[in-house]
Amino acid sequence: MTGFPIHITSLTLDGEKYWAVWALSFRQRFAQPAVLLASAGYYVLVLCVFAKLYQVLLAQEPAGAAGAREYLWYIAITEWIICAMPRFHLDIEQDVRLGELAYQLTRPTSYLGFRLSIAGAELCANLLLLGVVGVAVACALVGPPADPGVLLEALPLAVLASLLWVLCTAAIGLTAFWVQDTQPLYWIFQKGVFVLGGLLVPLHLYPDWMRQAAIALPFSALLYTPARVVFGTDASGYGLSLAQSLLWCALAALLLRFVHGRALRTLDLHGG
Amino acid sequence: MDRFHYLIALARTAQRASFALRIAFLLQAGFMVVNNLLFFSIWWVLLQRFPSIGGYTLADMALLYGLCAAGFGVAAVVCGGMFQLGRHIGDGDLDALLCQPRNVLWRALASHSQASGFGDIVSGLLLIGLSGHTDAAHIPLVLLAVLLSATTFVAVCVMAQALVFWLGRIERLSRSLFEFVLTLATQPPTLFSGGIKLLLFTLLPAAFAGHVPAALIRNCDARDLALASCGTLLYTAGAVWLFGRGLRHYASGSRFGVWA
Repeated sequence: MTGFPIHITSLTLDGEKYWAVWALSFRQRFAQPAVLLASAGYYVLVLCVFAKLYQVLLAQEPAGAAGAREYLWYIAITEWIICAMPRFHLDIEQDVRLGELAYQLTRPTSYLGFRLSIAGAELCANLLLLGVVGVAVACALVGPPADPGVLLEALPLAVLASLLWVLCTAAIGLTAFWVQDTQPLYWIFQKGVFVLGGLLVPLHLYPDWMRQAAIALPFSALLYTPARVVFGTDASGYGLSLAQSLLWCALAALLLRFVHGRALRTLDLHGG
Repeated sequence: MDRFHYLIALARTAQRASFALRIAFLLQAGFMVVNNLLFFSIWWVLLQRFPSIGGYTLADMALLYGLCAAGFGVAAVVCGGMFQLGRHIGDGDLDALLCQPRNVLWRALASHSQASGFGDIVSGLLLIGLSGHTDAAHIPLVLLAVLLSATTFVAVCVMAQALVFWLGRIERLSRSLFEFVLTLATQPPTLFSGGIKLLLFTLLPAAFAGHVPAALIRNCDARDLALASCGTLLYTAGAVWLFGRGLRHYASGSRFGVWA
């Protein structure tokens, strides 16, 4: 009779712990103006360069520079997601390499939950700041999108894409238990996202064989799916995109749970 | 030991440390080759769809990107300590170097070698070779251009990291400044004009790191050689001067440490 209420209380208490970690990390992020300035500055630089790139490219087309606005808003969304990503796989790698993980395990929180809370806070702070900067700069460069509502359509897809990226990054970080240096693996993952996710070039401009391969893989859900709404999409296409993103997030969560379990088992077998 | 042999000994020690973990070294170098080639494929995709970027073709992009990759790789292998310079300044780690009868900047730069730099060099030379702009007669020019690019990258990084002397713990900002230059250096120069182009030759010398050395290889022009050499020398002198000035501001961290 008393088991169920205690379970609910336990869940609530666990949630409060991670929420406290999240809130503290979120506040700390805004206490580092130099880091925020660096992120925002790089984002603005990329937007300016690629605005010019697409103006030059499309000037060679028969239709002229028409469409340059949509391409820049596409880049604004993909770079918004990229620049907001926290690289916390290095923090996990350091914890494993220096043995600090053992001290974290004695705390009344899951190590993975702790790290995901911090990464989530950093991600939210970055998305908020860079979102404001991106809208302002893109409007200044090419004006608002033809239908400003596409930005609201892109928002939930971008949030799901960011969640997917965080889950994948956490899984890569946990491979430090086996490979010591996770950077090479992260480089390949990141460049896979850049190329097959359509960072600078929308997938519909790719050769057919490459586009089909990219859409079949989860990389397209990380960048192309949220950003392509600027080119227009119907309700069924939007619903399908949401469903695909949710599916990839669920699969990534399962993968992370599996890797985390194997990592803890490795720690139990070999010691801290 | 004279200065030249000292520098050679520094570089060899850093390399030995880099090679110590063979598997990690091979993984880092190998994956960096894959990393660079994957990223370059974005330009391949773009230039399959559009004929050129203001006259800059895929071959030109391969030459520019390859040159920047090789130059960055040489800088990371020989002067890998440049990326940690700001942290060492902020942590007071320069104390141990100030007591040594050798140049502090050189010692700090050559204290570390990045294994991934070898991957950058390999991928860079591969792309330069595939660009079609080079043949056996161009090899000396390619080597010179890579050297000029590497020297400019080191100078820019030192200048950015030296700002820590005056502005405090801004290592992330310093790293971002360097990444601005690296990003701009790998973009086709036909995108830039007016004030932005002036910026690339002054505050953010991406032109000297990538555009001008690439033009030197493509055109074999004495003017490009003079421009690239003068620009690189100017920024190198500026970096050395700025670091020297900063060292006068340096306050000891009173921290006991060892430079391996």
